[in-house]
Amino acid sequence: MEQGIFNSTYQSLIESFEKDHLPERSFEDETLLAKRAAAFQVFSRKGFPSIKDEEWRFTNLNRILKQDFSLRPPSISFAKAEESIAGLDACRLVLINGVLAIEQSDVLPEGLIFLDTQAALANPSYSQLLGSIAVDDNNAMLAFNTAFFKNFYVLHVKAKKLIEKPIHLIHKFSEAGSPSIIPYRLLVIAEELSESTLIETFHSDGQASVLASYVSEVQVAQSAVLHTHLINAAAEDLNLIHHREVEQFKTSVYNNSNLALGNAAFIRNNFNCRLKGSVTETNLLGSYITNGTQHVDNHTVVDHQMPNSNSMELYKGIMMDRSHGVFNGKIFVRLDAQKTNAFQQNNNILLSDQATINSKPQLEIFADDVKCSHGSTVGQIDEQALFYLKTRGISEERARKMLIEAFVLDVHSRIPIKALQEYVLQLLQAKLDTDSLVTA
Amino acid sequence: MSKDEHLLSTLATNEYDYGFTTNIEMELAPKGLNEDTIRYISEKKNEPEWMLEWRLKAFKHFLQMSMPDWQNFPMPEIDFQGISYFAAPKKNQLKSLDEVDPELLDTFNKLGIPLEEQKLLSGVAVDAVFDSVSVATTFREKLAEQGIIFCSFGEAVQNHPELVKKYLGTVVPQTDNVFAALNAAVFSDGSFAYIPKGVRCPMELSTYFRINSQNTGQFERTLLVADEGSYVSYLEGCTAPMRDENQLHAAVVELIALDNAEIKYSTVQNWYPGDKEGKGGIYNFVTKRGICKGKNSKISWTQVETGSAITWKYPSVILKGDNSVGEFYSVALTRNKQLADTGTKMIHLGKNTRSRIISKGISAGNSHNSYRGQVSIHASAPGSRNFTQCDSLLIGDRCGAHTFPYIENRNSSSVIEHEATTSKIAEDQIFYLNQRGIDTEKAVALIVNGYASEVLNKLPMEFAVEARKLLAVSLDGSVG
Amino acid sequence: MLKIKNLQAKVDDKEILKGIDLEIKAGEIHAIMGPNGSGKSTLASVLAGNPGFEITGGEALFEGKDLLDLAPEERAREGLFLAFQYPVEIPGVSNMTFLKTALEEIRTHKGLPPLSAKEFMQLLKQKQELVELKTSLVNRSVNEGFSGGEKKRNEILQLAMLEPKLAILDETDSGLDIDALRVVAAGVNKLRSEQNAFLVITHYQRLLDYIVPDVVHILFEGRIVKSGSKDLALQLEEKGYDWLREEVVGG
Repeated sequence: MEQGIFNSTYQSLIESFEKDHLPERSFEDETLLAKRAAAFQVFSRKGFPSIKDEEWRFTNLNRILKQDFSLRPPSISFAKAEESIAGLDACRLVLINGVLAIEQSDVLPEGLIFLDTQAALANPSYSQLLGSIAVDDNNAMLAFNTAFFKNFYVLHVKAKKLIEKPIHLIHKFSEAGSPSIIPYRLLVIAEELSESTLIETFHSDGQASVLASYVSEVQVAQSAVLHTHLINAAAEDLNLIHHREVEQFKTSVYNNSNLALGNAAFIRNNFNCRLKGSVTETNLLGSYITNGTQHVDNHTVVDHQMPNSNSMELYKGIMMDRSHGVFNGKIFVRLDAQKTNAFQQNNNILLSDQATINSKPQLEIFADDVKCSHGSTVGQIDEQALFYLKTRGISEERARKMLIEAFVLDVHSRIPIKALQEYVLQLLQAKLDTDSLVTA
Repeated sequence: MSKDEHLLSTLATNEYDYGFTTNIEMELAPKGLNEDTIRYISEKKNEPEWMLEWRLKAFKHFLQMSMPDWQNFPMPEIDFQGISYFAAPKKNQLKSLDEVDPELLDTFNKLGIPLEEQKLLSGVAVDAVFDSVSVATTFREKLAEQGIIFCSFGEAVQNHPELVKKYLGTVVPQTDNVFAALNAAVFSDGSFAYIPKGVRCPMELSTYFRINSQNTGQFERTLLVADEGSYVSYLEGCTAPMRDENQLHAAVVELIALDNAEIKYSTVQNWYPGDKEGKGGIYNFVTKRGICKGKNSKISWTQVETGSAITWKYPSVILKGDNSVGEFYSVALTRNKQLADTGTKMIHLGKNTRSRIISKGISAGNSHNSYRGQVSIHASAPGSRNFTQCDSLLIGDRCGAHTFPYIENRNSSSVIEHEATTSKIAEDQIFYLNQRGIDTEKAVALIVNGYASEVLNKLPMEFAVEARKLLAVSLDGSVG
Repeated sequence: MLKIKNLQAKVDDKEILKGIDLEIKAGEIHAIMGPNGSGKSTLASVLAGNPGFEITGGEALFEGKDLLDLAPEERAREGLFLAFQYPVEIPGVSNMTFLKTALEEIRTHKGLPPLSAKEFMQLLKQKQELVELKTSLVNRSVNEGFSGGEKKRNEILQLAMLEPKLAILDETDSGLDIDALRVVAAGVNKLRSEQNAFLVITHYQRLLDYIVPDVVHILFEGRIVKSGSKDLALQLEEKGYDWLREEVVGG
């Protein structure tokens, strides 16, 4: 028995699939259309996931779907992405409401290509890869995206290329008339022995009223190194459901930081790393600072399938006001993954009696010669440290800020790009510039 | 051959020492489950009308409930109609121990539980439950001197209906889960204890459960009430014969601690685990829960789980009284094809409540061992704390260890700490012990006992020794 | 007592021992010195049967028995004892249980009945005084939370309890202050007899000031390149290992 949400948004999506959506996609190849049809079956059967789905137990989509979101052909308004990161020397690519704004984007360095939907479909290998990295027939939101995405982009780093200049992909959401649901998609290919950095930031203009469904599939080939950063600085008009699926091959390295520092009303991240080769390294960092009625949910999977790999995961969260944080981290160590080292830590601070955190760190171990550990804490600001600072003449508010900054510094200090670190600190300070700190 | 293969090469099941059967004339209810079954049980036990009605209500709930699907193993098909829900030795209405069938006394002697008081360890009072009924309860007169009631559940229904009515089903409601509903409908016996105000129970109370008959299940129910300022330590042990079929054990335990009372509940669970191919064994679906109802009360669960083909149990504490304390100490060992999904729930409702969870899982052979635990601190529980340490040890590369904690905090002055590790036995530890003349099998037993010692030390003395032996024996043959 | 012929061993495909010859008789104390990485600790591990090392050639006879054929615990029961350079911690296993189990195994092997609890405690008390180990440490888990010096003394306590024929002390002096060193050495000296033998592995001369060896061997790049009286150790102390390097490579 399916226990999904079958509301009016769902109904109108189901109706529009064959009537409006498919005719619009007639230029796509058979492979892709077949994937869409299969995904549509899954979504129409399961509906939007409800809290009866164990993976959505603490995150109630019904709250978001109270608004009627409609799927419409996205149009680029005259919005301009003003957002930039001071001091960051990067190639900018701008997506407005999921559509590439070419005139706002930079030329890319040699060894790296970025393709929009039309260009990507010209090469059948891309549409073949699409939907083959993120595979999960039980995931209705993933299926929804596969069935309905309008735009599809490919970032392809060629073999043996060292791209020193980071790519800065700006996701901007702008006024769209009525509440819109925007499904779009990215495929990242890091070929053998390449090294590159992708920074993604999320912004909105405060008038957007958007539910964005973003799926990114990432392939890190043998001995490739890929650094990615996801920084959410959007206003409260954004609801984001992001699914990232990473597959890593032998001796590759993948690092990510996933920071929710803005005011987006709702964020759900599904972040899955499949370690399909031996001797890989994976480092996942995360932070979430929430206030008001924000809801931020981080689901991660680190799936060790082959021997001798290392993974490290560190997520830290601060919840204020009536906000709600969710951390669900799962480590799999499969039978063949002997000599795995896997580490996971989730630390939280609750600053209000109305705030909630659900933390669910999980280990599923099928190999014996492994070292795995996880830890999770929920606590408060250290009162002794607070008192100590106050005896040195520092105000309560200042002292609290200092201690919170110190709490997340553990995560933020590991970001290797100086300009990005400073940007993150600015966002954090803006976020902490609130009364909620003292009135706890 | 690698060291690991060497360790596993002689893998063989150790004989289960308690696998014998007792030949005794039994009275069995016909197989099957319907309202008549329940009336039959109730009539056999000569129960008052209110008890029968309570059972029938539970049965209605049972019919509407479905099997749980969230546990980390496929739920076996259980044919509820293929079970006989009542099995009792024919000679049962006893005035004193002298009337107990010698065959039965002998059975319990073989299990190391002599029922003649003079032979007993002086510090332990025993209620012996054989299939569906309690056959003997020792030391009751001595306990009665202090106002302590310790008897079979059936007797409690007859002699202390006011206490039973007041507390039955208040901690584990009939609708809690399908097995709790089934138990409420068909439970046949179990133990009841009431410790009056301010009394420190002078000896360990204990119940020993024995399944004997074929095609029966065991559905006992235990209710312990510790009145204000009292203290009791309670022990529970269980065994069953070796049979090829799976037998269902669906028990319910309810603990109630009033102001300043303390209950310490220890279990050594050694139901027949099935053979090494996974054939036979007990399906152990148990609901155990305590409520710290009064302020400053304390409930502490300690369990050593080595038996059963499937173990599904989560002894929990509802921390309702301010400043109350809940503890859960567990060692769960699985080998061959055993499956265990076990852990606890700590529900913090009162102010400044504290909970502590120490779980040590050991998986060997082809077994799967899961820890599932929930810590939930509600907004009504400021100043509360939880600490959880949850470790898994793997022996061999065909088993699995799984950890599923659910951590929830809705309160800005409460602290939760959870730590978990998974590892295998370090080879340098084994080598060190080898170098001192200790063979690998003994070395593993020593290391595992050491690993579990934090939990084993929580057991009362007599039990701790048994549990240590049980752990060593259970591992026997798991390693070379 | 111990006869080693052309013993070769490797770890992770790296050849460490390239042909060791060594003979130790009852009543003797032998010292093996050599620079870091020369193979000293490997030799100790291989003799004790550490499964991390692969024997690639040669033989080792202990009291006429083929040592390399025996499991580590059988070697221990035959009377071979290794005092570890880095004794491992075993949480939750009390030192007392551990010692009692080991002693029982070894006594059973010798055909002796197990000691009664009282006898065991008496023996333990007596040996404990020998190494000046606090009673509180005997009740704690094996080596857990012990200081470096306490761990080494605990090794010598086990040596005293188990009364082996041949004791190999692997860098027992490392990490010890001079007082602890004296205690350890005094313990060893009290335990030595005409029936047992010691193989002392050390990087430094100073232990040999307290435990005077009959023979000193110098191990260099997996081979014993020089053997001599205790004066050899003094010579080494004076000139350092560079002298040796020149002599071996140059000669």
